[in-house]
Amino acid sequence: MSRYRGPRFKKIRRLGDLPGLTSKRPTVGSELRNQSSSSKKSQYRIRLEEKQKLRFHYGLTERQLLKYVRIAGKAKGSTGQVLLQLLEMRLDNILFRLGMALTIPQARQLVNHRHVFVNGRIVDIPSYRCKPQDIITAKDDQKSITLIQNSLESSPREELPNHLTLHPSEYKGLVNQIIDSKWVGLKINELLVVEYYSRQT
Amino acid sequence: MMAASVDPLVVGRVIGDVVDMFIPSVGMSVYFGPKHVTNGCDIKPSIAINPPRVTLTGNIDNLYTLVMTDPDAPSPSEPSMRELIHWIVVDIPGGTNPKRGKEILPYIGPKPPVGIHRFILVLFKQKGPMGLVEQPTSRVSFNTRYFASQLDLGLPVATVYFNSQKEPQAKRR
Repeated sequence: MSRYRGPRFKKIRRLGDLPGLTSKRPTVGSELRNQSSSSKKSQYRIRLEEKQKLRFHYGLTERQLLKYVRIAGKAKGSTGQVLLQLLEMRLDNILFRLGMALTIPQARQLVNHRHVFVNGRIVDIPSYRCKPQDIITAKDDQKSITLIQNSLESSPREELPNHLTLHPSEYKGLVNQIIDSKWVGLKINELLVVEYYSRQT
Repeated sequence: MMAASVDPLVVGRVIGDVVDMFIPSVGMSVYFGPKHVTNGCDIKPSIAINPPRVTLTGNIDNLYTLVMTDPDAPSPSEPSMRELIHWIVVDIPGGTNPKRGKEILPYIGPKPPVGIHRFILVLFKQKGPMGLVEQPTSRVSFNTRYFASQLDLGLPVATVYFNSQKEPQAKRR
């Protein structure tokens, strides 16, 4: 599937901090420059921007996100919460949250280039949905280990979400459980995203 | 056993947003036409124009109050009208249906403008026959907990909720 390959800083200036897309942070000056003349945002724009935040953070196409929304809608429970759980359990995102990659596009490339094992088998699909008790390891060759080691060394030491366990010496991560909503890696109002996709015609 | 049936209400945040934790003690089945309402199921607004068929279990000597409310009005992300009250019926004898009770507020069907709304039917057991019950002055900013405390109804004895969202209109050429 195609993905966004354009300028990233432009996106974070518009949408705010997107840790999955880039480790850069929007500066104060750029935010002021970007404010449009009309301070009042329409309801549609508020929902659209929230949806775009989600899309660019997780590196999804519009079609992929729409599929996830439909799956979440069929599941029991809050559609928004289920949507975030589905996105957080993607393999590329799990690698990013473990610190094995600095951004989700980097994690995506690691997976695509077959540097990652899940339960002892190569998985090269970034959208692979991880399950509780999945073991994620670096492929046992020097190139793969070096790539992941570099990321682990340079990733900021943030508190690991409670649904993941990392064994840095073994380049291994474990998925303990389905993510709890308070550990989601993006500050977002998921209800706005569901409202964007709910039929507004 | 009964506690297990509350679980979808916790997941759907019905317990918390509208009612407090309770133990169901009365059976309540709800149908919109042929469609049986189960917790979290989708009901199209077009099939919920008329009041649902509600059947209660329980002793005919007991009286019950039924309210139907929407905690997501006008939109789930900003529920500034929480709760929008759709229906209130009091003095429903056990083992019968709301037609045998006294309608305080007439039924209006779901009309969610945006987003997926929860519509919650809450059943309370009365301590005795209701005297004069005032009709709420407005359908918006209703509070189920406050209503129950005003009428001394205590905790609910049964609750079921369904989801509903705006239906797509036929595109005109």
